[in-house]
Amino acid sequence: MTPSDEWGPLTRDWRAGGADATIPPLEELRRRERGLRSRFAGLVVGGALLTAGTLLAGAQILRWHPTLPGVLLVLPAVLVVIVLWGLLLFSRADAASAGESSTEFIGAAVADIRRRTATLGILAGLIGVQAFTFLVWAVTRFLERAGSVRPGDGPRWAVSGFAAGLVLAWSLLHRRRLRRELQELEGIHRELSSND
Amino acid sequence: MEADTAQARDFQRLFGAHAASIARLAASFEYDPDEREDLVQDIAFAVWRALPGFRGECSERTFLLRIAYNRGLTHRWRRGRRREAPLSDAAAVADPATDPGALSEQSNRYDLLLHAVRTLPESLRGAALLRLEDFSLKEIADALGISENAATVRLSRARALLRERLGAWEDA
Repeated sequence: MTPSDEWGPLTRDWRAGGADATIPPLEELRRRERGLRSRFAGLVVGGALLTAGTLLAGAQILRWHPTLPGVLLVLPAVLVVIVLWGLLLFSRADAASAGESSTEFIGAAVADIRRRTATLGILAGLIGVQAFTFLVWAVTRFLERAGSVRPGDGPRWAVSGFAAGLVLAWSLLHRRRLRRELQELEGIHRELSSND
Repeated sequence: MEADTAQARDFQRLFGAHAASIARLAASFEYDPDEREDLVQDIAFAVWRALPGFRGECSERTFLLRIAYNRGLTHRWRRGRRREAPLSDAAAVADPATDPGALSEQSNRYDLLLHAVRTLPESLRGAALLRLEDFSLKEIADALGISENAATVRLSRARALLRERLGAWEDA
């Protein structure tokens, strides 16, 4: 029996069932589209204000504290803004998408990211990296003052902390996905083995 | 204005031609009739918005059901996040695993199959749904963005699970 034959009876049963979906009135669709456009415009204005606020606050922090920790404080905030803009624009591509090639690919990828609730994970990861960096920096400053670490080593430790925090956040974010993909591969392997 | 009219005409033609497929796909994602109707409306809106960007790189049917399937996944994800109480229309679609008699009385083979499809794991349901809508292997692979080999494996696993569930219920 070929795969097509195997599905044949089921396909017939399936296609014989169910009622037709109701086609919604076009005016309703147009009204929803107008609402979506207004909401998107609101998000763009809000995003622009957030971006301007972040950049101004970042510039002010760097004026007050023109050191590496100051940069590390501002950098994640800027990254958060960039991520939010990316999600906003991709969400538009996703909404407008979905049948074909590149747009669909991006749309599907973003929808997939959303499904895995990685949006919050990314933001939490960036904030976590920021907090981790400052913890390292504060401990180093304390050790500097106590004489356990050479003066001036603080920034180097902060950079190491930033890198370690990034790696840690990235690993945590991807742990679940990697585990799921591994399970999927094991399933396919079992399937192929049983077919052999 | 002319473009809008053309969009409206294309939408009505496309949606009308595949209304039954969309209803079946929505039913496979949602038990509750009210929520199912909302899902159909969401699918219609997504199709309406996507239609001007359709470049004919795949068939209209693939385009439409791919959108519908993606909307179904999003709907299920949102529903999961809301953590609602399970199935308000349990009486309308009894679980044959617990009450085989009820289903055999009330249902035809489509209902049995629908219930079996609903019990499939997410990763297999898409391939099974599209195969049941008579999609070819290549169309399934294109629609789901996977290789034909992966589609074959998924279909094989889905078929085995469906056979197992349907066999158990028909024997019961």
